Amino acid sequence: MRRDDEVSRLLQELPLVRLAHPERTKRELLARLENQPEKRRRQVLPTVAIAAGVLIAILIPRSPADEPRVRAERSHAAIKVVRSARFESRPPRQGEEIVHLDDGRVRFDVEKLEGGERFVVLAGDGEVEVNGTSFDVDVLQGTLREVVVHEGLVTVRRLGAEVLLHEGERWPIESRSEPPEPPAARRKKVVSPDDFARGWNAFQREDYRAAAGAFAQIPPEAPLGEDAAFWLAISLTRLGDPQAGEAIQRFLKRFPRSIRATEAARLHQQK
Amino acid sequence: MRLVVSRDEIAPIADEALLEACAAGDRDALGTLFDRHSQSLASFLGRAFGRRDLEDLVQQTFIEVWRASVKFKRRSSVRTWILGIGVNVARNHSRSCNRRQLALASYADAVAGGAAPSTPDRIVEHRQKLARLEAALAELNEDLRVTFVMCELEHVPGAEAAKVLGVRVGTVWRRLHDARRMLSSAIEEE
Repeated sequence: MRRDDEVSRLLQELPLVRLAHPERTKRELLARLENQPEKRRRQVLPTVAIAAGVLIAILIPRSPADEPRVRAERSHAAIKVVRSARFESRPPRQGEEIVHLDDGRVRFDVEKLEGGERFVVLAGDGEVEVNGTSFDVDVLQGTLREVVVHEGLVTVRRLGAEVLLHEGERWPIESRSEPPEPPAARRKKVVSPDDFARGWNAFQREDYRAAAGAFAQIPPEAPLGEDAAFWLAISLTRLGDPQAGEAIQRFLKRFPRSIRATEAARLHQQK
Repeated sequence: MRLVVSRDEIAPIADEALLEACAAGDRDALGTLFDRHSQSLASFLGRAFGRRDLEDLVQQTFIEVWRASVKFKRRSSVRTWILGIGVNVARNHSRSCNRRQLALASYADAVAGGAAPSTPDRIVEHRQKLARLEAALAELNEDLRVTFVMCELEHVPGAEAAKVLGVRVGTVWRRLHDARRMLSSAIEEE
């Protein structure tokens, strides 16, 4: 039995930790609350009002590409449907504006946000966060398919990974003709959020060749680039690959202040 | 305005709505959140920080939930958010006792329980492994232990754990890897 499997099995057998007297604990908690200063009451919408809010939210079931832009009340974004879309937008609340995009392709032009303000598109199974930018989001039946940045910066989150896209970049990596590619000098490799996870999964199943291949695809300046560089070196070391030493050196040179630097240096000395 | 009226009516109300009710001063809403999440929180805190003062830590966490309810940003599930507050409460707990010793003591209590393999030899071996695992878990540094318990035992997704712990997703993965490696070594025969 692999040791990892055995750890997993033993973990299931750890005794549960429970509150011995939950009702008493709750009573005491509520009693302690009585001594708390009264909260400044905030208007909270009852369920019916929330439902009404949803109804009055902007709902655009279908719209041609040249349809005039619609600006949501007090919204920071101009929203233009590029392809038949189903989405919902509510006015900003406590500085946070969230658009739910379930299906279709939508162009967002977002004004520069003030500090503390956020604009987030919950795009199917992904999430796109921006700060003063213009971008397209494409969702098909609840799955985030593409993000194209025309201007500014966009963060794409999906499956636990995060990628920062610059102007002219798209997610995921695909060769398409539109929009025009950025000048070569500004072009950066776009990292799929799955790249690191792929390497990590390979590493966990001790397929170090596949892990090294996946980690090597992630440039050091990308999110998780530091981690990828480190785990590339480790993967090559586990393989006994002659390039391992070079990979460790590259890591140390690029990330001298990494919390992994000591470990990497020790590894390098052993080589 | 009260969102929570009776036990029958609270079932369909989402955690997020209950938090909003808390923000408006509805104590019953906090009571409902306590009913839903207190045992999960206790399990998490007990394993990550030890069992001493557990009830007090749970209460204090929910008081912080009450205070911070207006700040909830929906960047994680309410349950994960509560666990994250629990981490801060436990870390700031001003008791003078040494947390690591507490954790070790709590796990020592648990060792007596064990599982039930088939033969006497296997029972002994199994209990020894379980004891080594529990001791090793308690010996992990706090960051590794908290992350490991949150993700592996409480099944919080790595991305959510990263948000509430204020670290990168890669850091969570790295901690999980390190913790698992150390625990794996610990259960090896000595």
